Amino acid sequence: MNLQDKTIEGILVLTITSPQLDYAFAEDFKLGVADCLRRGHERLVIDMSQVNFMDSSGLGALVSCLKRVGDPKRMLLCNVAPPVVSLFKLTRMDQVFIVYPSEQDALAALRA
Amino acid sequence: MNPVGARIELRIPGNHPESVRLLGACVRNLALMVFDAQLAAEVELAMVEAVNNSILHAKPGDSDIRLTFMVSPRGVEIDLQDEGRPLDPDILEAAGRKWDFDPTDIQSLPVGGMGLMLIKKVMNEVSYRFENGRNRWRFSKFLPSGASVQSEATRTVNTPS
Repeated sequence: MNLQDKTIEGILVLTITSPQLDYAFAEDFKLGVADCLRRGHERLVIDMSQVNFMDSSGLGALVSCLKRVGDPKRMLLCNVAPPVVSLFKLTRMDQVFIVYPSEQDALAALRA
Repeated sequence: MNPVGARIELRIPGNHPESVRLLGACVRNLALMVFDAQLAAEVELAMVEAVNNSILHAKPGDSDIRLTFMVSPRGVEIDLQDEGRPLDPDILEAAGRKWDFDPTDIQSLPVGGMGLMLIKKVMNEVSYRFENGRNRWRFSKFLPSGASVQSEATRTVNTPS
C-alpha cells in the first residue's frame, strides 16, 4: 500500500508514497483512507509531497474521501506539486480543497 | 537541430492499465523537447486520460493501443488508435459543457466524467473518427503566442548556460 499513516495530537496524517495518484492506484487509495478513517479520526492531513502526477481517477478518489469526511476544513492537503495544483484549477476543485504549503501549516490550521 | 518532423510510435497492450504510467512518462519526456514543464505535464495528463478512456470504455482487449508522437512546426501532434468499440461523437462534443457544481455542496461533487473535458481543456485541437474498425484520435498542442518549434530550438541553442 502506497500510504503511510501517523497520528499527531489526534490528527491523522496520511502520506501518499506513490509518485502517481492515478487510475492504477485510485481504488487502493480510497480503501486505504477509508480504513484509516474507520479508526475514528475526524480530522486528517494528506501529505502529497511525493505525488508528481494525478489524473482524473486520482482526483475522483480524493473527492470520494472528502465526501466520506464531509468537510474540507477537516481534510487538508499539503505539499501539493504544481501539476496537481494545475489539475485542481482545470476542474475548479481548487475551490473545494484546502491546500497548505507544509504539514506543519496544515496541522496548525486543524488545531486552531 | 530542428526537431520538426520527428516522430515516434509507442504501443501498450489494451488490457493492461498499469502500462499507462509508462506511456505517460514517455509522453511527458517527449513533450519536454518542445514545451516547458507545465505544458509537457498537460500533454501527459491528456494522453493518460485518453488512453484510460480507451482501456475502460473502448475496451480494445489484448490488441495494442498505438500512440504516435510527432513534432510539428507549431508544437506537437499525437495520433492515438485502438481497435475497441466506437465512441458516440456526441459524447466528445458535449464533454465539459455541463461541468458545473456547487463547491460548497460536498456530497454533490462529481467523482468522474472529467477525462474528455480535461483533454479538451489542455489540448488546442481534438478530433475523433472511427475508421476501418479503429478509433482514431488526433490531438494537437501548440506553443504559446504563435512561437514555432524551429525558433524555440534555435533560442534554446543560443541561450548561454
